[in-house]
Amino acid sequence: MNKEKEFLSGNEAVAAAVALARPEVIAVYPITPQTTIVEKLAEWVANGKIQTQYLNMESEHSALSAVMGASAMGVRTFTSTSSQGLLYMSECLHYAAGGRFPIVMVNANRAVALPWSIFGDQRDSISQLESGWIQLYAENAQEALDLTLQSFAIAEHPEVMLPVMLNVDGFSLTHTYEPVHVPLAEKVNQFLPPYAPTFRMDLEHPLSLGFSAGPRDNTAFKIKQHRAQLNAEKVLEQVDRKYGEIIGRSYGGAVESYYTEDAERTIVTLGSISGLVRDVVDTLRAAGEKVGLLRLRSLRPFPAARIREALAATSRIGVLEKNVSAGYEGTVATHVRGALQTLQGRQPQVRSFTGGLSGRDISAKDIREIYADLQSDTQSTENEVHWVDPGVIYES
Amino acid sequence: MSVRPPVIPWATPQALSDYPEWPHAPSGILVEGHASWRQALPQIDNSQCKKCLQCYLLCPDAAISVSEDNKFVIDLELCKGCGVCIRECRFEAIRWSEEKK
Repeated sequence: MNKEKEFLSGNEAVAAAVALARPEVIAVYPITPQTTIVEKLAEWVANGKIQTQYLNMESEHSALSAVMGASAMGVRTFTSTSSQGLLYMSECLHYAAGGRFPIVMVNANRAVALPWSIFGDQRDSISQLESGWIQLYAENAQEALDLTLQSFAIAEHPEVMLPVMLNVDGFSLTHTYEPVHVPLAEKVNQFLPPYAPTFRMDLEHPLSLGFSAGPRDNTAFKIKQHRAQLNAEKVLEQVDRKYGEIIGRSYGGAVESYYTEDAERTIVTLGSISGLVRDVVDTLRAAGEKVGLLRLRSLRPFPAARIREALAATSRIGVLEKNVSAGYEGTVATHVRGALQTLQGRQPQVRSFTGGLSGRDISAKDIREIYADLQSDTQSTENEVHWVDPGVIYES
Repeated sequence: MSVRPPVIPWATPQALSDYPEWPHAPSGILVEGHASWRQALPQIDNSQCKKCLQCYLLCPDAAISVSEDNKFVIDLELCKGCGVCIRECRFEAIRWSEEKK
């Protein structure tokens, strides 16, 4: 193992992983806070460090269309975007997933307009949950690097063949520097051999690519796509184990449990805020409080069975997300609530906490308050959103 | 002369396993004929045809193919009568004809 760590931002860690993954086509359009990924890659293409076809497109819609075309030719592809760019891609997101193109895209999570904001939250990716993409969430720059490499292995797995969107919190990860271990190329080559496409455009063996399917046949393809998503949960655990064996780090698959075995109160969350929640758990555990953390590393596939298993002991659950589905509650909270519906014999209380919108800080104090809130029996209404430090006097 | 690959006849799928995994497959799969959309039929006059392949390349339904005796023919099941071939033919070798219903 390469023992030297490099001092990298989250975006630089992603770029380092992309270089190691050796995609043959990179098509991108810059947008804050993703830009420094593609700037770094462009620099490496210019100075010959990486050999790839680098396309600077005129829009995100075109960038994803271009990597779809390249993927149809049977090559490994990468793109990345953020926020409005992701939404501009929306049509192509469904297209890429339905077409089963194993594209890897890093999305630097950022707020969506209006009001306009360049700062981070998770509303962009969560609004695209139904697009059919696998959605993974990294906690730190190291995991962003590791998950970028794992994403290619998951996407290209013959039982999956789906695009993967790896989400990295804007600024708090993308622009924050930390020591990151960059694996050696020979190890990565062992973990991630060249892409062996299952189908591709080929003059010798012509295919009708992206055909239509009407009322009689369309559902069959959606069933297959759904099954591929379900397969992905098993595959992402396999890939994570293989990565651990070869590179030396693994994360336990779709969820990461921290003191959930005997926790009375657990925060379920995702992305960069998980580190701070873990610190608060340590503090509260030291004071004898039975609290836990469940970190979701994947929203699609949604690891419902593993969530049920991890939360078997917990009676009060707070789902903390940088997202809200106006008119109901946090979407991740709805998902967790749904996963727990089939728990035999007991029904834990799930409360939806929305914080960190548009880059607003969530502090350790805020997290302690969430655990304190979970201790109280007063729950105003079932689907009341609990606003974490909204920054205004909150008149109900 | 290049010719269109033959349309592979596919049985109507019954089970999930009869379908390919993704919407990409050898041409011919799940082809739906659009003959019923047609209001008029393009007809090729092979004596005027210069074999430039424009109609063959530009037909949106790949309905035009080359027969073994080097004649351009229109597949009556696939042609929806859009007239792109008529517009594109520079030699006026394709014209509308009345079609018997």
